[in-house]
Amino acid sequence: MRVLLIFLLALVSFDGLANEPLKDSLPPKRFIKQLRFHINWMEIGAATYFKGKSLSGLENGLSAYYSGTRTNGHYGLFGLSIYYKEKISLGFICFSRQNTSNNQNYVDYLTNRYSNYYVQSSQEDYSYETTGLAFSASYRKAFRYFYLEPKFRFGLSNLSKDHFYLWMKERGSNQYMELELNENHKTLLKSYHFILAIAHQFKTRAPIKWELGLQSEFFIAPTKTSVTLSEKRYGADAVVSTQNISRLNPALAFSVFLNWKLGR
Amino acid sequence: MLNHSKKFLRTNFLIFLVPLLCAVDCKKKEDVAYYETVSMNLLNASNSGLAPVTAGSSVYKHAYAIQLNLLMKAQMDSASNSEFRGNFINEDQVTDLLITSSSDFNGIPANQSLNNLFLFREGESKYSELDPTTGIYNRIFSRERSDREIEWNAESYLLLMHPPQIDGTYTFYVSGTFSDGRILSDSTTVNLYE
Repeated sequence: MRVLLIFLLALVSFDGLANEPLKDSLPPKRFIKQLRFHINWMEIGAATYFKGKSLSGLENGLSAYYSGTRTNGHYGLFGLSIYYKEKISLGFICFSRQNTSNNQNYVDYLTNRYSNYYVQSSQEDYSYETTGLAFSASYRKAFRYFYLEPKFRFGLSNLSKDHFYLWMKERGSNQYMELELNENHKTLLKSYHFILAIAHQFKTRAPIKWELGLQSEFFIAPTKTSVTLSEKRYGADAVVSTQNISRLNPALAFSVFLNWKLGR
Repeated sequence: MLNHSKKFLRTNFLIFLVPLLCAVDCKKKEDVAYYETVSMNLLNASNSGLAPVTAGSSVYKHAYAIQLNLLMKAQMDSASNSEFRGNFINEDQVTDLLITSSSDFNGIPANQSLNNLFLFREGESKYSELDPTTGIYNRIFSRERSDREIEWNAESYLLLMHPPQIDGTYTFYVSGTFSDGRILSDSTTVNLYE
C-alpha cells in the first residue's frame, strides 16, 4: 500500500500539478467544478492463476486437488469513479471471477490410492464464483484522445465454493466409501489488484464521453484455508484429518472495458 | 454535473426496467396423469462390478442384491396417451415394505424383518437406508416411463450389506403394501457363498 501511494504521488508530481493552485486554496465551487463522474459500465476479460511453489508437498493428494484450479471469466460491472481534474480518481466497482476446478488430477490420485474401489466423480469439472466489491485509486495521464492509467484496487469478496464429494464403490462387494473434502476459510476474502489500463475516448454530441480500453492486471488473493478430509465407510465412523494451507493465489488477467464519462 | 447525472438516469431508465419485466414468471400449470405398479417379481443379482447385474442361483455373499422387476401401467387409453404432455405420478402410495427370510438369518428369526440389513440402490452413487420417513418405499416401487408407453418395466435393487455368517441357501421374501390395499409380493432363493 505504501509503495503504491509513493508511486501515485510520483506520477502526480511529474505531471506538473505543482504549478496548479493548492486544493486547500481553491474556492469550494471551483474545486467541485474540477470533479467528474465516470461510470465503469463493464469490464470483461479472462484470468489465470499461477500454480506457485506453495502447492508442492501438500499431503493427502491436495497438491493434485489444487493443481486443477483456474479462473476463466473475470468481470467488473457498475463501477463509479470520481475524477479530480481528469487525473486522480477514487472509485469502486462490483467484480466477479468465474473459477473452474478440474479435479481429474485428484481423481487420478484417489484411483491409485484406493485401487480396490471404483472411483466415480460427477465433479470432475465444476465452477464456482468469487464476487465482491473493489475500491480503487488511480492516476490518469492523457495523450490527446488516448490515456494511460495505472490503478490499484483493493477487493473484498465472497467465495462460494461447494465441498468436494466422492462416492466410491468397493470392487467385488456391496460396500462403499464416501469421501468429502471441505475448505473452511474466512467469509470475506481480500485481494490486491495492480492494473495498467490504456483507452481511447470517443466524443459524442450528448454530454457523455465513451472510453473503450484494454487493461492488464496482476492480483493476489491470499487465503488461509483449513481443509478437512473425511472418509466414511458404510457402518463405520468417519475418519477425519485436517490440514492448514496458506496460499497467495497470484493471477494475471486481461480485460476489455467500457466507461462513460458524464459531462464535457 | 447534476444535470448530466439526471439526464443519464432518464435516458437509461429502460435499461434497468427491462430485466425487471423479464423476471416475471409466466409458468403454466401442467397436467397430471396417473399410473399404477401392477406386478413385481424377484430375481437374484450380483453387485460385484460397478452396477448390479442379474445372476443365477449362486451369488458371492458380499455382493448379493435382490432385483425387483416392476411392471407399471398408465391409467389412460391409447388415444389419450398419444395427446398427453403432462407429468405422470403413481396413483398409490407404498405404505409398507417388508423383507424377510424363510430361515434364521444372522440371528434374526425367520419371517422377521430384515429391512435393516439392506440398502436401496437409488443411483450410480447413492445407496439409501430403508427408512420409511424419507418416502423411500415410493421410490423403490415407482419409476417414470422413459418413452410414451402404456406399460413399462423397471428394476430396483436391494443390496445385502450384512452377508450371512453361515454360507448356504436362503429364500428371501419381499412384499410391498399399497395405499389401495393391494400387496405385491414375491420370493427368490439363492445360494450365498464366501
